[in-house]
Amino acid sequence: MSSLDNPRDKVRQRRVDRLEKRWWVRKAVNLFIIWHLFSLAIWLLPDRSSSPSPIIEGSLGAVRPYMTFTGFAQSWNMFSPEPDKLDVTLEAEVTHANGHKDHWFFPRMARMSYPRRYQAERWRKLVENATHGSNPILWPPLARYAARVNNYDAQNPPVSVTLISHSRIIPPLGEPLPTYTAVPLQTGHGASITPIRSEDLR
Amino acid sequence: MKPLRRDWNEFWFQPISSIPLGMFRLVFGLLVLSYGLLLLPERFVWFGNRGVLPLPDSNAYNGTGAGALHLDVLALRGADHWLTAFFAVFLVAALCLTLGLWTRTSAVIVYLCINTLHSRNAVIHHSGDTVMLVMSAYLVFSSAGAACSLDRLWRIFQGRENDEPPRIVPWAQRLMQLQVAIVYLGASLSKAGGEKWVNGTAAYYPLHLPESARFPTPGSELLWVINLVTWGTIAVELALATLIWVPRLRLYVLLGGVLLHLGIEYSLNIPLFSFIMIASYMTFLTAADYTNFLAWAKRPLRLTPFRVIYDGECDFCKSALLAVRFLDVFRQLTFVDSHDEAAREAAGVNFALAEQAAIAVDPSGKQFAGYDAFRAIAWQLPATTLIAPLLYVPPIPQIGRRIYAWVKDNRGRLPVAPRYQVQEAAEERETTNV
Repeated sequence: MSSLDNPRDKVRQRRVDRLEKRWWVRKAVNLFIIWHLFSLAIWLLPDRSSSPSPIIEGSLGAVRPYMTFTGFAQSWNMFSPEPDKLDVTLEAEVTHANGHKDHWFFPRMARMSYPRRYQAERWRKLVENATHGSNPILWPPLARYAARVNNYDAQNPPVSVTLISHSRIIPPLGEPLPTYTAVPLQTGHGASITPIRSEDLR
Repeated sequence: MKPLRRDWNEFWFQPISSIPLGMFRLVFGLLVLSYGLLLLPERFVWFGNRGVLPLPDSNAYNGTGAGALHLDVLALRGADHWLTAFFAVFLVAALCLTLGLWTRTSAVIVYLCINTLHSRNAVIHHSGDTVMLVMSAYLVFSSAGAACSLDRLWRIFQGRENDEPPRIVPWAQRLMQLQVAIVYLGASLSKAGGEKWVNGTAAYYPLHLPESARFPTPGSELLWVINLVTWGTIAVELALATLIWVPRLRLYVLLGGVLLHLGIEYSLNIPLFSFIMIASYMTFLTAADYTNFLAWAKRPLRLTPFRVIYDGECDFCKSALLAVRFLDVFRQLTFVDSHDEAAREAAGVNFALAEQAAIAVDPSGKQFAGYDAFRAIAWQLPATTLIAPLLYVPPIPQIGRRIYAWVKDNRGRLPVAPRYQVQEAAEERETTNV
């Protein structure tokens, strides 16, 4: 049986023929390709911040909504321009109503089995994003999460949480590893202490 | 200007084989499924309102990022109980995408879901996840269901396609290829500006971060090994951006990329990242690459060519064989109509036996009938090889033989492929007209 014996296929073929004849369909695809490649090129230009050109900044403004909404807002700076040397874990010091303090660590990869590590790697990424300086906006939700995890006594709920980073810089090849340094995450006003309200624990 | 326009049109619009894209879709679907399954147990921690980043905090975080416009289906239904339903829809769509069932719709749903998960919690995703997101967007525009898909099997059942998968207009696949090349170009150029990459010691650091490292890497304390890995990484990434477009070098460059990512997979704990990157290379392969691969893989697999004798007057049997032929990737099976006397006798099968059941005949002349034929064939098809050993485990053979006997007795009443229904109807019309 020829493929066009089926009436539905005849309709489909007519539709394809019509599209072929419509010059604007291919034109539209061409325009989309050009726009998309332009957006990708602008977005992926390395190290935009060091030498901001007005043309690139203007183009970025135009492509930004498209790139973020569609999810194409991709940066590819894995291990570059310099590899990450900061070995860091994150502790939450949870203070309860009676003054008792719990010391709770966000899950650490190095202490997990290999299969569990594969599934739980998101914790490492989360801690990395929270501790690498530029994201203090993440600290209050992480502190509230730690409070919820440690809210085991209704009579003695958590009232505040301090996030403490334990970090060390991996030294160059051949040099000994330093010990970890524990430092509370700092805002401009000192250690970042998140007060916990009763609604945060629900 | 004319040659440029001709080259442009040829690159984006000249039809190519749909097999590489179909294979990519299949592997990519499995990776999306794995991504969803890895997130599923802790979905409330990552995306719930009592998790690490409740919706208002996520919105605040996204607002401080590159742009405020984000796609987030979950934001429409913030309550946590929607999360389970969301994941159910996502996983079903990922499975359908893998199988190529309702491919376009599945691709749209998968893309919306991945984009939503990225928007809902942008803090936990790594570069590999982002590549997964952008590839899923390109799949929406591509003809990913044209080959290696249940959609195609259905078209075969309908009689709209036969053995050769259709050729496709490749512009979406070309965008995938360019995306991969641009990503590697950005990565290599960015590394070229880093002091540790230039002095050849950059690879040392991630391998010694306890939170990122996976298995111990032999030689990671030796400077020359670190130099080799560091500079080798930049060289391979640069080649994946540039030399990959040189046809003669394409497979060597891809091999370099595969080795690089297998090394990363071994030494660093970045879930699915390497597999996603390796899968994206499949968009650079051609139909000839797949044919050559199948020819190469056939020998170590020690497959047996079978002749399958079937009742050519049974529409149900012919319908079933369409599916078997579709799954016979290595083309190990030859189909013989039992009413073709010469071919049947050449196979050494008598007509009475062929009337009773389908017969599979191996090169030595050994015959397998009915359920045993089905079992012998199962070893030859990649899609069923894994279940073939189970077909020997009691009571599966006993149950299988009963089912086969029931099917044989009722085959006149069982559904047949639409292409044969249409034929039947046409024959009936002709008979009535006469």
